[in-house]
Amino acid sequence: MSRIPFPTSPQRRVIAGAALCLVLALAAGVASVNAISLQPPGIEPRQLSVAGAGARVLVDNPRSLVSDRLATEGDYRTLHKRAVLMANLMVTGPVRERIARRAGLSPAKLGTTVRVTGDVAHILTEPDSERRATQLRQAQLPYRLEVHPDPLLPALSIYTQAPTVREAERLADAAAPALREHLRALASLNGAAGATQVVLEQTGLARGDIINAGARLQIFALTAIFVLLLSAAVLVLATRPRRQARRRAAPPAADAAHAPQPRRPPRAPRDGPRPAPAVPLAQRLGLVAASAPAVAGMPAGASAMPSAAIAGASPHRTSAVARPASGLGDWPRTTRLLPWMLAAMMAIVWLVPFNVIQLTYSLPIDLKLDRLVLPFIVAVWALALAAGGAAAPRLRLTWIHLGVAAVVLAALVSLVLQARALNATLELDTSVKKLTLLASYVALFVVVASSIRHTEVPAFMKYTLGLALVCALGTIVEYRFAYNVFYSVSELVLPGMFSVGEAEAGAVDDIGRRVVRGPGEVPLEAVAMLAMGLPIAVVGLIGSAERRRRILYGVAVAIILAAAASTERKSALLAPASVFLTLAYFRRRELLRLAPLGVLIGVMMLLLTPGAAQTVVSQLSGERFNSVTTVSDRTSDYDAVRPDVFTHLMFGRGYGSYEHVTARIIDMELLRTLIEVGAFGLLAYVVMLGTIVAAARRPIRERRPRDSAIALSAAAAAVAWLVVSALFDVMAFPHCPYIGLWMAGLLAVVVSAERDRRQEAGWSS
Amino acid sequence: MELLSVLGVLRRRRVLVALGLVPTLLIWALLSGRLAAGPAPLAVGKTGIAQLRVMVDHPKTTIPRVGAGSVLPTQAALLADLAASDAQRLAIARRASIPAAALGMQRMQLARLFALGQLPERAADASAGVAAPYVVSVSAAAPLPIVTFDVRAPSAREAARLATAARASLEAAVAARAPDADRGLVIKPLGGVRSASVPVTSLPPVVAVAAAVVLFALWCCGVVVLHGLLRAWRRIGARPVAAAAAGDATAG
Repeated sequence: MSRIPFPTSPQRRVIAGAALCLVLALAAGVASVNAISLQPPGIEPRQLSVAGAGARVLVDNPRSLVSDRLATEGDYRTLHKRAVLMANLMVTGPVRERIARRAGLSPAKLGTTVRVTGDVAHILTEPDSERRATQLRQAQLPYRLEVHPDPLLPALSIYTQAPTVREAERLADAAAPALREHLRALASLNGAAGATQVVLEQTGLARGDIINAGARLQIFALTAIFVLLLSAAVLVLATRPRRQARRRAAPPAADAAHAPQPRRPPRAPRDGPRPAPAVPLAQRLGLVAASAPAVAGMPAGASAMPSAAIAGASPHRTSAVARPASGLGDWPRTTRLLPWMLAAMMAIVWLVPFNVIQLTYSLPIDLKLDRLVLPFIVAVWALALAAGGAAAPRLRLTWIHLGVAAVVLAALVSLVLQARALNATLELDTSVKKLTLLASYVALFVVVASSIRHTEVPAFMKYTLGLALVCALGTIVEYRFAYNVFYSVSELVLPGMFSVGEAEAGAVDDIGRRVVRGPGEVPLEAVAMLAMGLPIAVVGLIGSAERRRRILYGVAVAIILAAAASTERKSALLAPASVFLTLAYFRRRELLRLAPLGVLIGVMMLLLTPGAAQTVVSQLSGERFNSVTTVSDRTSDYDAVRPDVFTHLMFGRGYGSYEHVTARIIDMELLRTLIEVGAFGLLAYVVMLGTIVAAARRPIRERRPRDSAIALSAAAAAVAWLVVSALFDVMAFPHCPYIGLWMAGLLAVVVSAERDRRQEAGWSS
Repeated sequence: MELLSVLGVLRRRRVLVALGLVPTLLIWALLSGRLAAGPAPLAVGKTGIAQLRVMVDHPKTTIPRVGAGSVLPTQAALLADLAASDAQRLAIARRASIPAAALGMQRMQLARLFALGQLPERAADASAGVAAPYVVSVSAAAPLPIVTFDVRAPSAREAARLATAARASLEAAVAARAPDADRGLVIKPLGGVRSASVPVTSLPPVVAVAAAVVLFALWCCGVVVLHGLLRAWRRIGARPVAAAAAGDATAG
């Protein structure tokens, strides 16, 4: 039996691997949008197109009121009520059967719904578990008819969905005649005169079109990308033992070949000897030191690399003393663009209500401010990676990366499995948009973890604390003076092509609490942001030996706590409590020693936001806690989402597909994750946060001053993230995931540097 | 600093970068209309628009009478619905002496959503779209008893004629629906027809420049990425050589 030949050259192995992954991805993509049969062999495009149509029906008296100058408001009120009745009648079984018959369909394939269009609070129209189960059953049907009674006029808007435009139009056109026929039948049964019947007048033939353009491409791309990533990951993991064996067999000196290469690696001359490459541009301009001599086998251009890099160490490990002169010093004393861009991005995240700012131009996608800035950062990162050189990002895999990848994988699995079902219910677009948002979060994490140096992390932590403090002070100002500085300044600073949402500073919610939202979209978002910034201040307080620093950090803690309390949300107590509990788990004695200072911080907090903390605490008293709608809404969700959860328990109904406009507002990220990404996705989400804490444990245990402080802050922020995930839908508000993954990225830098250090120590010993 | 590395790569691959100028100039020439082979939307032309507002009223006007005609806004909204019906489309086309197939009616009332959701949003868009040389859009200015006709036609004169025809058709429909001759409503014009000829320009010149710049930037990015891939490729190929050399050195 002959064995499958294994390519021996590394380049051939890469080609073979890439070709295999590509073929698998293409095959899966083709299979997702085509029906492939083996007996007889054939391939046919799947029916994926969805058409929609609309029609308008006026409800009138036999003696028309439309042009009657003696018609009264009472006449129209009565007629309007009759129209709402007609809408509800249209979706009943007998009428549905008539509609289906007229449209040439089987009634079993037609789902009918009437929507509540009156001025009713959304919460009152949210479906309970029984109604949701009906919704889910109807969503699977290929033909749908939705009736919207006009809230002001005696008229109905009819919207239909079908696989083809003609069928959708026929269905919409069948609705009014079918109802008319039903009314006539009812009248004849009851002996009513035809002249007294309500008149249904369709204003024109239904018009329709394909309403899911691009779905075929989306499904193909989703499946192909998923299979490509999965097969590449499997291939890398499967060949890992072989690579490791080869690496063990090779002497350590060979690792010089794996070190980042100079701008132009050695290349065999094609037509005789080639002249030495020109001196790099950066060196010519005098921006890069040109001290190191050319090394054997390397071109002169390699001298632009610091000597440490040439010796086999990473350029990230060049001496801190040599860096500033070369422009490669640590942030903020650096000319490297990426750290500055990341700093700017974090300033936007902390201080700008970017989720309510968007371009006023009409575009196919919602271009929020972060989605305008982040692509530039990712582009510079990708270019720097491709160009190489001393400032190039360095990709290093940590457990946190795997945790984040697990979340992405779960999201992709859920979407790939449900893509066709989501296409039929027109929810695929929403899911793809949410997937893009998830990709933005992950992109920030990857860029941070690969572009920031270990020696820069403390400076960035201080910077983050500074931003958190500005955010907290602005939130306190909003509480005290009913003036949202973040929204107002954004409105003033941004050019006219951006529209900024309303801050509504000074407004109160349904249960009488102030709406203090800081730079967030909702108050809970501000709480989550501040809770993630709090550990940096507390850890700074724990680690401060000098009195002055201790006072400064103490003031910072008080300001952040006061700002959180100023939102008057119960979470303002729970989220910071989770931070303190996490820190207490790792640093019990140190925290206990700070107890007297804690009293001072509490007093200062009360002075900064008088009355806020009391409002928060009073909401937790037994009677009030159970009676407010914010609690009862959340608890009612548990029962109402059962149909969604149990229909797709393992992999969910599709990432980002649960829409609050047709279903419920889910105020809990963990529950939403369970619905959308299933138990697997929920596990991945918890594992992602768990890997942050797990990765932080070693530096925390080893108590190296700089690393342990960063690890403590990141671990506490991750726990706070998990806690707020149980309190609101945190991933829907981008400030929090950006901040959480920023902290995780900084921790990944620390962890990978620590791993490098251990490996170097292992080699040297 | 990263940009210097990128610029260094671009300098080394200057031939490839220079090649990018060809599609860049081509796209600029196409979008700015300097090349005759440009797609159809780039052609500059003119179209006619017209607007006519009418008031739904009693024969003896309700304007000076407090409390009179309180249901007129509702009736105006329903009449706007009826004015966009198929029957009205035929009547308007007949009056304006244009083929009925060339006239499209935009139903603003159907496009108004009362409850959100994927199906109503998309179906409303699908049903609102009109692709015809003559388009009449009818809307009611609730809570006022005013109906507005916005017309688009190949010329301003035709647009004005179409708006007048739409008003006349609505007047006829209102008269036909009146329960009795003395109980009907009347349609009163609010000013005359306002029409104009507006240029249908292609893209503004700045868009052509911006598109060319974006294309060239993307081309340069592609060059840098290609350089990175080639570098990685050579590094993969260099591994066994480096390992063998290191092995020899150790053995020596």
